[in-house]
Amino acid sequence: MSSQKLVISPAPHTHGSNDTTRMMGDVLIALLPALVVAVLAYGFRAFVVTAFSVVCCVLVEWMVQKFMLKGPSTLGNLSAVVTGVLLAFNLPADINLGLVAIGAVVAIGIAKMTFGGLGKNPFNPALVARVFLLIAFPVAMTSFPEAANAVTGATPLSMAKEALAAGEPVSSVMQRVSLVDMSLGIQSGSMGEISVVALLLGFVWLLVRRVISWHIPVCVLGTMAIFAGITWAISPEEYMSPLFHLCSGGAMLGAIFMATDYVTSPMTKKGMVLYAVGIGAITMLIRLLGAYPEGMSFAILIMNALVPLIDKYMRPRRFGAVRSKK
Amino acid sequence: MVLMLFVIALVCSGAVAVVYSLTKEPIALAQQNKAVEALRKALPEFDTIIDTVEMKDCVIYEVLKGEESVGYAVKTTSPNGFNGNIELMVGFRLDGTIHNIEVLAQAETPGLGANMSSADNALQKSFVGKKASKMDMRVKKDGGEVDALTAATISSRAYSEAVGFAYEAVKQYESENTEQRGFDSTRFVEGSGVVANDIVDGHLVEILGKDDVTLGCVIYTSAQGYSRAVPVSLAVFFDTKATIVDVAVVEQQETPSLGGKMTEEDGVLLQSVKGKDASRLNFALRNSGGDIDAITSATISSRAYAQAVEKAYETYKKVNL
Amino acid sequence: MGKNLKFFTDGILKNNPTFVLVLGMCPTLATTTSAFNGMGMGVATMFVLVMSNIVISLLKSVIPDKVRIPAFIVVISSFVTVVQLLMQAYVQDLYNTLGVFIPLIVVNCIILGRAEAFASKHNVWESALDGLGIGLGFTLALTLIGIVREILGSGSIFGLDIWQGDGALVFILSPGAFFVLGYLMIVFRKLTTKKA
Repeated sequence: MSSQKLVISPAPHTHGSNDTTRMMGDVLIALLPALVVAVLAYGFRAFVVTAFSVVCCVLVEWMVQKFMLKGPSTLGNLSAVVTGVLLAFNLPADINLGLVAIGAVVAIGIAKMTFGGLGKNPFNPALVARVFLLIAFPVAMTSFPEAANAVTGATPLSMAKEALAAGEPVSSVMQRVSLVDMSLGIQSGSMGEISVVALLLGFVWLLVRRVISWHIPVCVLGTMAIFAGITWAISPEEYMSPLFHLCSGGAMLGAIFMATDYVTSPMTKKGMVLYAVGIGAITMLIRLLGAYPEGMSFAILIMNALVPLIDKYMRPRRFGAVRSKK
Repeated sequence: MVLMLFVIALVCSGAVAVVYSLTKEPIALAQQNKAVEALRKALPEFDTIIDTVEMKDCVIYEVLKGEESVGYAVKTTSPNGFNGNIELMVGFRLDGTIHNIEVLAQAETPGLGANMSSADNALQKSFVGKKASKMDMRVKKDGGEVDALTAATISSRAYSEAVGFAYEAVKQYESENTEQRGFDSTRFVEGSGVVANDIVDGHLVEILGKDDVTLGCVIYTSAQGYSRAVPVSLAVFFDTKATIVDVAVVEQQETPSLGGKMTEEDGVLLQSVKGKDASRLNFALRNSGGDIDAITSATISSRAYAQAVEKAYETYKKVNL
Repeated sequence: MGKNLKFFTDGILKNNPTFVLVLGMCPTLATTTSAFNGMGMGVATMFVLVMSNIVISLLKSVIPDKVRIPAFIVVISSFVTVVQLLMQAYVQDLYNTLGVFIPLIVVNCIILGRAEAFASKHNVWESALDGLGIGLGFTLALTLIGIVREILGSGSIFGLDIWQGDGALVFILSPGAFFVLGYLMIVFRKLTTKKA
């Protein structure tokens, strides 16, 4: 197995040059704007964490592949690099580098290589590592440094959740956050999730390069918007607006870069829609009813687990097959 | 077949019954030890538990060292933990200071809320040594003065809530069992109401108000009189300028024709304190060079009355009106 | 004696209830938050297992075949109740920590499984050894999982601090139980298959 990978898709097949390495390269390019914003907001430290995370992930992958699986090197497909960047994007910028290393071991070692490497892992490696770290070191993972110009160290989501739970009306909560700031990256949060604009730029690049289709991100965000819209319409002083929900937390990062991971998302378009709606709905349920302020990572992992089932029941019809009449 | 099953079941239940009877005592002992151990951790040194009362969903233990009351320990529960009930044993010293807090049961998240059980945690520290009456028992995030456990606000809120319940229970217990004895202080002034109450130095203090104006406070005190069984208990009504407006005898069992006269409206005792500025009053009896006229042939009862009023004034000085 | 010894060692290695048979997962995952808790649960189970194996193999000829399962359960639950009462009397802290999992030993499939598959077909001596072996295997497995979880999660071992502060909390929580069990299972398989 060199970089020549078997891409699963319904027949007919045409041969193209879009192998894993090229796709992963495109994902990395798409992640660049968010990285730039992270560095602008949190300084050089953001770059150090990202680079360290990438090095750790690559190192773990190389070691597992060489000493435990004893197979040829798989570093060339760049997937470990992408995992490294995504992992870093899910961490606070001033996190202890030791935790980053643990995250890399969990992401590559446990979530990916234990199952046999790229293409065989049921869960998104970077997200498994994020959730692992979140549960293992809740204090370090939820203490965010203040981004440049941001008002507070709490993320807008957790701030809003606390305030609403304390009975503060939405209008007064909104005075403390600005949707414009949130889109530009002037909010507290994990390194890669703070700028909606940068992430959307990446999304456009991925669409243009046809690395991903629009289905999953649009359906995830759409479902969240509808869900939030309904609660907001019912009681605008008790629930935050749909726009707030789309701009805050990991919504954009998750919908565009995490949920669309080829390996852990369904193969068919219909399946993708179902999967994406599930993610959006679970995210909103956790945000509105759960103990955590943010539910995107949990939602994606839960739906990851259902992907084999979705694929089984939404199998594409074989080319030329006639639907059997009952 | 059925018979065989029956026999087996019979033998087995017999065996269990034997073990039950053998372990019954050790189990009871172990449980009791556990309760007493919690009391020992929550309170200053003591030797006897004299009273166990249920009050407002809490259990209050009053303990003695020798003959002196040491304080109260309150077993209290908050249902609002992150994962079910949080049960605490809160120890109060007589002056209302929280001596210590011991977690009896909790099922909070390990490493977060569960840290409330570990030694010297932030939550416990924010309560211990503070006067319960003078603290805002809310976590800092909600505007109070309690340091929450890191990343465990819900658990911390429930913990604080439980301590609050304990304090409420103690207040209720004291007002029912100390000098008050069901006395209604609002009868001093027509149409007034109790705005707030508190325990200061072990005495119940009720702030009286009428039409949004603070009239003053009623302080309940007692002192040992002629009767060994029942002390002389008074309710002393001060206005905001330390003038003794009125004094009512809440309970006494002095000799009816002698010390018992202290209850009379125009008695010498009442007349020598009523309307006087407490700060200028010498609470010793007249024959000892003080300002209090004693009831004839009832020096002991009179001295008790004077002492109780003096205690009330000492307490009054610590009350912020 | 060689054969008897095999009954004993099989329970620890070849038929290890946790790592090989994968039985009794509920207490395994739930009670191994620390080495001491895991060991306590293991010992309690072992006691019930050995006693019920002995009694059932003694009674195997008098218990009618049709009602053997109810009869086994009566015997097992009696021993569980005995354990419960004893723990409550003498190790109350452990009893409170293990909570509902002590009475739930009744439905631990290892015990009924050994009663049905082994004790009802072998003599008392062999059954006792089997109970001891399986029980010890279960205890060792639970203690091992408990040790790993305690070290990683609390930074201590049998309550003695290795370092100050907390570890990775996830290991004390339920997901950690699955991680540790899974990876210990890999290691156990790797070691035992090499031997064979």
